[in-house]
Amino acid sequence: MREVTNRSMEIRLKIWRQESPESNGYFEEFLVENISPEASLLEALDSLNERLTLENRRPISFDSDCREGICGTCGFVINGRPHGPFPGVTTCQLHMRMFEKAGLLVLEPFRGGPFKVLKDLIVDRSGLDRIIQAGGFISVSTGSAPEANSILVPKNLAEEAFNAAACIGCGACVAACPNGSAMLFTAAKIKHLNILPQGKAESKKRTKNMLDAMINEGFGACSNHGECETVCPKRISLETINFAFKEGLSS
Amino acid sequence: MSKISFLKLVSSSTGLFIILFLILHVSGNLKYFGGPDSLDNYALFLRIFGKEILGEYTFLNLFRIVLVIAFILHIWSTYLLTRYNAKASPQYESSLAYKSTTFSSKYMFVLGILALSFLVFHILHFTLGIIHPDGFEYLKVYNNVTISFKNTIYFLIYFIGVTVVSLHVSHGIWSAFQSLGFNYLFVKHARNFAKLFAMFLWIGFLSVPIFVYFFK
Amino acid sequence: MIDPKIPDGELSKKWENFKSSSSLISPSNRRKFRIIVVGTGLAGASAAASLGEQGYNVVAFTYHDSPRRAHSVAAQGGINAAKNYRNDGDSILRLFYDTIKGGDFRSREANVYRLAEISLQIIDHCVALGVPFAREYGGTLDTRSFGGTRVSRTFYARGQTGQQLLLACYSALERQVANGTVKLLPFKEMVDLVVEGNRARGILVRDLLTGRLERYAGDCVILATGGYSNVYYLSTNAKKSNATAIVRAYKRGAGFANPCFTQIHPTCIPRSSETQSKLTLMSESLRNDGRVWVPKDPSMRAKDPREIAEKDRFYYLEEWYPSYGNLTPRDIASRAAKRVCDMGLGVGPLGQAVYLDFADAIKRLGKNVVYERYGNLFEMYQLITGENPWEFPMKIYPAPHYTMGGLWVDYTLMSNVEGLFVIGEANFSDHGANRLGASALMQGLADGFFIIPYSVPNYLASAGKNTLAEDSKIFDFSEKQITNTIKDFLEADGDKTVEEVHRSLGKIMWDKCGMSRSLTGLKEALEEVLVLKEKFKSLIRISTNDERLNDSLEKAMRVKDFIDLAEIMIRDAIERDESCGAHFREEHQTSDGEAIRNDERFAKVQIWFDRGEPALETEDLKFEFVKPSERSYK
Repeated sequence: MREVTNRSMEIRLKIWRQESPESNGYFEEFLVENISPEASLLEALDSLNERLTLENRRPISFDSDCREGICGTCGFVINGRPHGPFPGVTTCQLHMRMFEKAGLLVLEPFRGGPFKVLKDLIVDRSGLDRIIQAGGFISVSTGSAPEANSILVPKNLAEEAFNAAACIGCGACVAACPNGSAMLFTAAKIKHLNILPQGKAESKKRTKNMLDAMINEGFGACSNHGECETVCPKRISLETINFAFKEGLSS
Repeated sequence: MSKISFLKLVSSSTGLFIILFLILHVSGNLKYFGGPDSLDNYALFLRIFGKEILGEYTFLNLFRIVLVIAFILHIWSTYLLTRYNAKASPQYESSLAYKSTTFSSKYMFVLGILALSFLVFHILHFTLGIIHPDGFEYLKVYNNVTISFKNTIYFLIYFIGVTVVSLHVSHGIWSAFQSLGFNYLFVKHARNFAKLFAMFLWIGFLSVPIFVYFFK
Repeated sequence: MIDPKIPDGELSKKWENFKSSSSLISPSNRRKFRIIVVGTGLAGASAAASLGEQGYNVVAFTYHDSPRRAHSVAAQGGINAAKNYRNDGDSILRLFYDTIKGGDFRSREANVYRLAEISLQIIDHCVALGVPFAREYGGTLDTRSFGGTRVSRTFYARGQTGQQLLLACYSALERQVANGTVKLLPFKEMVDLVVEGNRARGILVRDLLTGRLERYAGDCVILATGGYSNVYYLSTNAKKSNATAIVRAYKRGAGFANPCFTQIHPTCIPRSSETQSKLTLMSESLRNDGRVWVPKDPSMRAKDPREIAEKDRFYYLEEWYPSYGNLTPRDIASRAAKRVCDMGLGVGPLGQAVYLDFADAIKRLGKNVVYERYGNLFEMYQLITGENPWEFPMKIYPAPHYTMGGLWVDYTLMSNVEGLFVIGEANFSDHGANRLGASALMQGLADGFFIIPYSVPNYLASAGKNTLAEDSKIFDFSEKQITNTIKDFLEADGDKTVEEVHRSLGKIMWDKCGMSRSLTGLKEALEEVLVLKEKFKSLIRISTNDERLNDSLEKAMRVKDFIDLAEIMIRDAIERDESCGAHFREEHQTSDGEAIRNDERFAKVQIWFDRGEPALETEDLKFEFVKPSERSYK
């Protein structure tokens, strides 16, 4: 039963602390007691923060928003895995019951490429936005669209586009990549837009510009380790990268 | 074409070309088991191939030039790609638990440098005959192979060198397919197949040294 | 009486008339006008992108690190449009009527008609932007049905329609950023609206990374800052969603309309722990195939639901509302859930949940079809609860979800403060006392893509260019006030965390100004909230006095404004002495618990102004086209 329970557990958290981008970071360990196994990991951090606040200690800064795995705001490395050890989920979807036997969790911010720690577990991921600015759109201005059903999109194509478009831009792929590459992120957008008839017209320009932007932003080039695929909370596959490379060759 | 598309195209296609050459090379090596005549005649055949049209050695040298160019391009493009990767590579304070990264994929560049050193040694040894054990006679291929691999140091160098090349290929071949955008269903299987292929290559290349060192 | 400035003419011609008679600005002059857009969700991003496309000088603000995080992203079910692709009798008129009726006849006819009209263009534009909507095998667009309608007019992209629409707007916005027409400023939260001479002159923002206050003057200000469900602490809104921008606008003279109209969504995952930080919504689309029930006998509450026989199950929605069944509108479904739980039939240890059962649907359609339709929702449910919905029926309970109330706007979406436009959930315009499912996305995009690009130029053309200098006195004044508030908070030395105060505010609001409201309860709530308001500064403690990135300082500033808002919500609920839509006053119900509306006294918008004390004014709702009728879904 998952309604309000009286069970509780405790866990040790070893968390990366860093005051500002310029300062040096370090790990600090905390013991979180009396937390319900039904609480989420972020709620455990919330309650730790409340305690720290009342003790006049600096709370842990971490970013999160929707807390249902769709906005992509949250995310850090948990015991060596971006978004934790379970496939297909974001950090905010982790519940303490999943860690009942863990004992210790080590939390470290996403790193890699141009990602820069802003504070504690919060990271600057604006590089991803600039990749989108380079071409992650269809150039159609408001008012100029044709009647929706005049563009027929086969069901399987729409599904395939959706699978790629499901990317939430959390940056876990970058954090997991030994090269700090944003190839999965970039490829997902290239695939989403390039396979749809609406996006075909500028597909070559899009592919070239986005791939160039990725490198110029300071992300690594992909060398096909495949690590991104294993941490992607939306299970976006290496097939998107395959597609983007193929498109890249003719762009 | 974007910068990385171009570099990927160059590194992948040259890589695949070199792998094709390795397949030719290993099948040539196996002629050792056919005895001295078989191997020496094969070596002679390579020398005089296309002789009527181009003259002796010409074809072989042309092939060598193409190979050298492929190697240079391969090294140049992978060097640039690796530079991007190294710059962007994350510096974690705790250790990251990798799931699909392999030893080969992670150390591609290092393996590449080692393979290159091995290649230089190999050319100095067999092709040019500059470094060699006693009794080495230029153009007497069967004899040279035999005395080289009877020598423990040479045997070990080749053992390590071939292992390095195989490891490099085991990631390189499927990575090249992926980077060239081959059909993904094929690529997905190629990922496992690549390891098998690399193992065959390893066995193929090492069969001669092992046979010589241990059984001859 | 406040004038909504509705254009003359027949209902169906009003928008056309407005468009053809509105003033324009020539392309070469547009870049001289600086337009401030606060918030980059569906409404904000689409408005900023469209105005950027026209060539205006747009500055867009978000407190997130990227526009793609806005909470529009979490909308699941879909977006309505009167395309009538199904040939099932849909039309603009019917969408208009459904929305008016769904809102329990408390919205403006002209606005709602315009919304229904524009719905057609929205789908066209979103498809062109590359939204991967669900498709039929022939390649045409697929639709499904939603609560409160009898046609299938909801377009969707699996259970992630909001995400896909937001990403489309985000991409359009980023395209304009690349073109240089839009300047995007992330990590900046609006903390004040600067008004001079009843004209919006700009905003004051706090840079969340550096803590610096920054001034931005503009020729007009567009607020697209979303709703205020987080006043309840536990809601389906994102953790950062807040009402600061609209409350600051209210404090600077903008009217706040119908604050008590807040929607409680019937299908959310029940609360599971004391530390719970938010609730998760399960799309209403689930009610298409899921059947809602509770055991008939309270003694069976704890029993394995699979073992409860068909005859012992109470499919209360199907019994009470045979014509709409499980697809009754949200307010009705929520209240019905509360009713059965109050009757002691609720399940779960707290008795605060009902079953949403897919066993029949799985039998009828097969697992594959159900998976295709709701797969990701099932996964989400399992992830959060640890229970397998393929085996056990889901447990659901209502939760605060959307706020129909918001800043008052006229027909052109401009507030009573000139040059202050309010769009999306932040305004009050289209949903009356209750919003139908899949209409929020529609409204946000209608406002941003298709209304603002006409109404803003119309305003700018007549108001002229008159940007204030950023070092002028009025900015100094505003900055000083906010600086003092921040200073006070940083020095605050109470013994509660801001989170705790927010939780107690939420509890007051949920218990007494939530799904059902009584005069006594509301009066108590008002007293309690006023105490909280007075004591807030002395109650709270901010952990560090760091002026830079400081989460609890951010939170304190937001909660302060939530408390101000709670006050007018309660006052509004007291004043509205009738039951309508989501606003259910216990004094006004039939013997079987249905709402009783009072059109004679309350067919109006209640608008609150800050004049030291909250002061009430009204706008009469004139129904020229539809006749308010009893809103029955039986």
